[in-house]
Amino acid sequence: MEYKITLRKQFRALRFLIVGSILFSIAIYTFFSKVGYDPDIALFFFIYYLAELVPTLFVHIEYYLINKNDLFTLNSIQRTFSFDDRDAISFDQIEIIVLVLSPVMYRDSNLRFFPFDSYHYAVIIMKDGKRFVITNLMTFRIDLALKDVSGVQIERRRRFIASPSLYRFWSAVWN
Amino acid sequence: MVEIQSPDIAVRSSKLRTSGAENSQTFNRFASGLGETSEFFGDFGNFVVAPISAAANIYEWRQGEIGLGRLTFRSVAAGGGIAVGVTVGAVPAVTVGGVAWMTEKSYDGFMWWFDKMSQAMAQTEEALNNGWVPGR
Repeated sequence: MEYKITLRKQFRALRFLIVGSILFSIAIYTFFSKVGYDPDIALFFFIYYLAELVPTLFVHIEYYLINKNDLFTLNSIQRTFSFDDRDAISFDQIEIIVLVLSPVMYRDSNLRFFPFDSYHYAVIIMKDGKRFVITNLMTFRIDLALKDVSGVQIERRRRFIASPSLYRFWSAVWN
Repeated sequence: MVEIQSPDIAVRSSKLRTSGAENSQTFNRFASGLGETSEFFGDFGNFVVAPISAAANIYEWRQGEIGLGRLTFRSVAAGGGIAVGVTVGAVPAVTVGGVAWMTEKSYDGFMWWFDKMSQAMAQTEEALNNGWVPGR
């Protein structure tokens, strides 16, 4: 199986934000039609929307920059994977795969609370210390794609926002 | 003489007869659709309803219909419900919301009873001061 970023996958990742924004706009219009326009409540809506929009776009752009031109190929029969048409690497050379998920994805819930809840990524850590990062812009459900990777330990970690840079930041702060 | 159109009946009856596998597929499609629909309303329900509900509470507070305490209680309950939903699950989140709603209604009920009791006691006290003796 080959995985890479496509426009369709990007829209799939942003679907919650796009559909949510349309429904939210309709809800705001209906609300103000009923009670009349109030600039303070409009400011409240604006701040709320920014709080949803900014982290989602941040994670999306970050994921895009990480895997922009990457091609991840997984061969479950030969038990190998490759990045960007380089030599195939055996699954045996993988030390561990760390799968970073949002809390709702961590407990396999289908319900999403925030637009950034569906964003997740995996770090393939090799025995020689090399690291490869796969984000869900390459495949919408990495956990399902990784089912083809047999005989490798997969560690699931829970983060409120599954962002590699925020993860590094918080790790540096707490350690 | 009326002619009975038996082939038509046969066609209709054959449509009703579906195999177990077809029934199963139909049910799976229905269940899948139901799951996606509930997922859709679950996702966007929170994204859209939570801020609108909060704005409605702020509006009521600004109109003087509710006090700052009630606004704070409702905001904390809504925030707590979302936090529980994110970290624990949807059912506990609904439970938190339900408990918060019942707490508010119970408080309203208690305060109504308390007001009525206060009025009754005040009237009784006034009557006693005016020389009323119970039972006479």
